[in-house]
Amino acid sequence: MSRDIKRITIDDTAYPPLLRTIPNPPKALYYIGDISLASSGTCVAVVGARRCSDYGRYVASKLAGRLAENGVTVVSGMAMGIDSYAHIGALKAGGKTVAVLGNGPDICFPSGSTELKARIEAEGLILSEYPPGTHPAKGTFPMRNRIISGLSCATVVVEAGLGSGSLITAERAAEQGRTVYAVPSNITSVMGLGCNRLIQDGAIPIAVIDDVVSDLALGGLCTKAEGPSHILKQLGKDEIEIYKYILKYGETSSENLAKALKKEPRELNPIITVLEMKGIIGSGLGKIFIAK
Amino acid sequence: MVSRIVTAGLNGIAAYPVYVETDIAKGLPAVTVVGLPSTTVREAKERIRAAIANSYFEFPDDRVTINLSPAGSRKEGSYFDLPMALGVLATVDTNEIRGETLTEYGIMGELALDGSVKHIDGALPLVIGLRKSGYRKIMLPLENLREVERVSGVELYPVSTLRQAVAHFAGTKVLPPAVPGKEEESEKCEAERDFFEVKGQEMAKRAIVISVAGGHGIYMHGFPGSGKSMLARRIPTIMPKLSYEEMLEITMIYSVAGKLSADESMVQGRPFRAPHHSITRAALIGGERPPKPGEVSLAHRGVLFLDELPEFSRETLETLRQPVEEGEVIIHRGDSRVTFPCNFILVAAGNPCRCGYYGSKYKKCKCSLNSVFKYQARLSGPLMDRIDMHIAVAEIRSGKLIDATKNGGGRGEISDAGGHCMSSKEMREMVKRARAVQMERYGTGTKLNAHIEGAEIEKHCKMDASAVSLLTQAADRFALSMRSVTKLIKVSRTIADIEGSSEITQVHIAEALQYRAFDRVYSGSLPLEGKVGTKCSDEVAL
Repeated sequence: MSRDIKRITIDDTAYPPLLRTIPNPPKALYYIGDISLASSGTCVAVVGARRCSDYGRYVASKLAGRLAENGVTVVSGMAMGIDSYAHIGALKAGGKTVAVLGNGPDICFPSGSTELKARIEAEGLILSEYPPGTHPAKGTFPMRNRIISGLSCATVVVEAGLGSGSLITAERAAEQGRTVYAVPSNITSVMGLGCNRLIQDGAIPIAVIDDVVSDLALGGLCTKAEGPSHILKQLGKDEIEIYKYILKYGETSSENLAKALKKEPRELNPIITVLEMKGIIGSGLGKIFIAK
Repeated sequence: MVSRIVTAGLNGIAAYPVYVETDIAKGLPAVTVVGLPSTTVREAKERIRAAIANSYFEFPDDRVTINLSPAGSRKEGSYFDLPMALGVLATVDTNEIRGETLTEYGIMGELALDGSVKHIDGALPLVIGLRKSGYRKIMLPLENLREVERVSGVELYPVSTLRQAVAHFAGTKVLPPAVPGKEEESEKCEAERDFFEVKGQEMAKRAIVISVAGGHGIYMHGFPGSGKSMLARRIPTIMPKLSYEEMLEITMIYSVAGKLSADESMVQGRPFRAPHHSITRAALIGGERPPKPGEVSLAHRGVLFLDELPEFSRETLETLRQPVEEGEVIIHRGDSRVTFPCNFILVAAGNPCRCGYYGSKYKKCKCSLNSVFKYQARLSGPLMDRIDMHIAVAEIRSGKLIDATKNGGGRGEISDAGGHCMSSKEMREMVKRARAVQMERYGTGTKLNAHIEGAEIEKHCKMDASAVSLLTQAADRFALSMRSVTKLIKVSRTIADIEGSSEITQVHIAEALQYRAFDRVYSGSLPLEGKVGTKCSDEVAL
């Protein structure tokens, strides 16, 4: 059923370079899928608790989706809850994702995630320091957390209670000198208490979903530059006019655009569609706004 | 002695000849009506007895049997009174009614007890049905003359009393056939309303032009007071003028429905029907006994406007599906099946939520999020699938409106400083152009782009390569269903027709996509946002 399991050692050139720099890198890795994803240099870990709220679920898939759309590989642990949603979000956006397991790469844990695992095998990468046939045991998951953070230039903790293993991932990331982000939670929510504590301890809070994306771009870690100037290059003259108008005045309607830009509906409507298709603007029942 | 008189029976708006046979035999005085008479028809014997007596004729003191042939179909309506009365009188020799003249006529009319002839419902379809069966001379109530006078190829003999009718057939006072009155000027009554009065809604107007040009149903989504009803009410002003055949068809429906008064002639303008959302199913699609046309048929060749669409009961909306698709409605009534045409443009409007202001920039919504979901969920039903276009009507700030009135904008107008404001006349021209193209293509004036299906779409909706590629991309990006894509193609066809292009190009597809607002909702905007989460959990649950 599973694809071929391959092995790579720390001496191989294909070994993820970022992982090599951590205090105790695994000597060998077992994997299914495309190993180059782990060395692309733009990996971000999106992790969180298994028991999560709808909010956490939504943020995980949305955030991973946005990262994936921007060419970032999303790393997580394929556990239930936040981890799974992070993988799904990335896959749905057509992006790449890496799952680091706390057991042999041939074993699916949790057993209900076979479908997700199969998709990651096909479109991403399954990675483990444990040889095939190793069953998950106490201690294997905290160990693999250092790999998750070690592969990534940044780690985002989406939602975590006080005892959550993702706090360990955050700790490892900090030890490894990587950036730690945390998604703020309602302060009365037990599920997000760990996250809020992380912020208190110095993790960067995420105010809007795209914070990570823009931070990465500014920090130069992200290979694909995003932002207005980059977008403008892809657009025609009319499109730029519309894009700039919305950028300046915020959310608007096609009626307003027609008036402000002195365009007839028959000219304007097709351009709006094209901008929507390019994913530059979004529309929701009469409203038009910047989607990037 | 037996007499035989021709009249007609109604089935929907179609009429078939009915023969009233009257026999007088020796026996105890009695009147028996046979041939499946309904209650109204059975009661006619009391009316005709009184009417005959009060017109100074003698009602025979014998056994009278009246048969309505064909005996197998149900006879409904009060217009059998006059033919039945004449049938009875014709059997009595002293009245000198000449049987041979009598049989050349189709006769209809209701009698009052004093012998006067009253207005009937359904006169126009009856006259047309009789003409089809070869009866060129028709006697009918004077009050119905206006309704039918423009039917060609028939001689009309209007009467207002039973005595007049008898005198005519006895030859004592022969009536001349009615001379049709002057044709009314239809221009005059038209265009009381004009799209020019609706300002600041050019996007919606453009969509409406496309909707009317191709016969596409349209749903307008917007906040209260943004002008949805105002727009809808003006749609008939940009529809092409009715042809004579269309007027006949509409008038027949109104005639059967009893919606024509005595002084009303034919229906001249496009119907605009706006039933309230509390309407019952029977009132909407037709019903009662005998079956009467419902609102969908009264809107035939015009506009059916459903304001506050989400407020209509699900059941009511479900019943609309078949009429919208077929262009006719079939009512089953145990022993009979009646068909009424209902070829209308469906125009619907709705608010985003119960209070109306969900997502408004200027007013706060008072609904709970759950009730917003519920409200909007009512729209995603199968009926919405059958509406070709959905647009969002822009929100207009009342401040602008006040500005406009200050600047002499006129009654309730909303100014859009400088921008062009389309008038009904301009819009009508565009519609006319596109309809002309369609007429040439389909060879009939009534078939429009919205009505084509399957192979016809492939044949008539040729797309260039760029259009195909855009459509494929859009289908992917917005996850369009096959049905959505088909509707998109049809709307693009209409846009191409308006623009005078024989092929559908990328631009036309791109514009048409703007009129599929519900297909295109950006996944990051509420309330669909909530669904992102649900979708994910489904996948994990796999």
